[in-house]
Amino acid sequence: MLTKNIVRAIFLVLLQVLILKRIDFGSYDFYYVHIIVYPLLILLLPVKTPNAIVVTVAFVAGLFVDMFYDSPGVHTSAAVFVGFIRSYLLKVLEPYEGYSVDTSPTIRAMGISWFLSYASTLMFVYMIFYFSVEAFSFVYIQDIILRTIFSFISSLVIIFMYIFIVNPKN
Amino acid sequence: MKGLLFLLIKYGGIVLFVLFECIAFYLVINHNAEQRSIYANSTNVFSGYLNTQVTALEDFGELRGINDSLQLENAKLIEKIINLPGVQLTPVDIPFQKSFKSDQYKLIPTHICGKNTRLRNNYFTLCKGSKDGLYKDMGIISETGIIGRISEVSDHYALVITMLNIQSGISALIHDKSFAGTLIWDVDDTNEMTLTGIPKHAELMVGDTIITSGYSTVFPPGIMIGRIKSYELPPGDNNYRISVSLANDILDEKIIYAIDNKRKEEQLLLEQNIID
Repeated sequence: MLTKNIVRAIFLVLLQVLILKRIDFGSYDFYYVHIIVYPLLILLLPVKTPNAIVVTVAFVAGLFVDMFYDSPGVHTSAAVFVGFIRSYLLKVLEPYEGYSVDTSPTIRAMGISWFLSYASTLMFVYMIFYFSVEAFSFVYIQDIILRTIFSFISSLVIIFMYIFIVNPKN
Repeated sequence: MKGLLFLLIKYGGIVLFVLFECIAFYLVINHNAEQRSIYANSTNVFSGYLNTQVTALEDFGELRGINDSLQLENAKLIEKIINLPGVQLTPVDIPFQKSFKSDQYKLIPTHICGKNTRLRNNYFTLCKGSKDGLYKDMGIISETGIIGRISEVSDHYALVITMLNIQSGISALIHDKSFAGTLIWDVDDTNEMTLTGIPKHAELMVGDTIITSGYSTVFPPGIMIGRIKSYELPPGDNNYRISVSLANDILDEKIIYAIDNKRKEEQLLLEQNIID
């Protein structure tokens, strides 16, 4: 399980920085689509992972992605934030009977509607945090919102494609 | 030690979160030119706002000077128009022949220092006088129409009798008709004057343009005065009585120009000889 998570983390980060980063839907006046998928490695960590470890993983992954995006700290801050609130969201979304040991928050384990609300919440938080930090001023609030919405939708589509192709058990 | 470890497991997430976020933002601010400049600018939003306000205030203080220079510029432009043969200072295109040379009229920009406009004889005080080149009987116009003429002049001030005065009699012309008459003010309305001396065989239309004739030395020909509002032929009279609505609001004018007719003396002298 540990190995699987490490492999997935490496794969997602490489997918992000080597392929998705180069995909540019933007035209001259429409530059709002940025596909960001690598936070999935934070999302898919086992439910019982200690928060400290989640945050640390997010930090490392974020730093790595930032290295390729030439934006030190921007992805990192968003990833760390998402890693931090993940445990609280899991508590909110906890089923009546609770999580069983070694569960990963996947579609196979939790069902598609559960995963949809879980993943979309965290990805949306990630997007809005990321684009806010990137703009670094709420003067550009319209830009931030547009980028968040378009990137969120397109990224979520890619994430679900990934999930349906790989269909991870944990 | 065990307690510390327990604390770290329980609260480590928050501690690490805060720590990592601090590192991340440190990186963001220190290694991204864009974010750094935004950060620097955002902290200066307030001072920037103040600066803008102060600049606006400064600009306001300079407005007077700017205005004066613009007025001078305007004067030169109007001067050019007046001096162009066949072109008038009117909103409508009136074909009109002029035979004077192009430097006959000079404009001296000035503004109004004082107004006395509640009397039957309205007059203005100008802020320029003989030291600025103003002299008696100069015509005064604005960009939209004529104002009056200078009646008295001192070193630094000049008194202007506006058209709205019982003494005023301005030689005016109905555009395209070539009938010249005299414009007098015998009504109470400050936007209206009466044109007299147009013979009854003239064909008039409401809305016909009234322009200066240029027959006197005060105004160049072709300056817009107003339009015919209504006309009547008083019984037993050979001349129309024409109500003219003025093109400009004389009492509300602020930026005005004195017309310096360079050939005034010459013309007057010649006419004097004929009369003699």
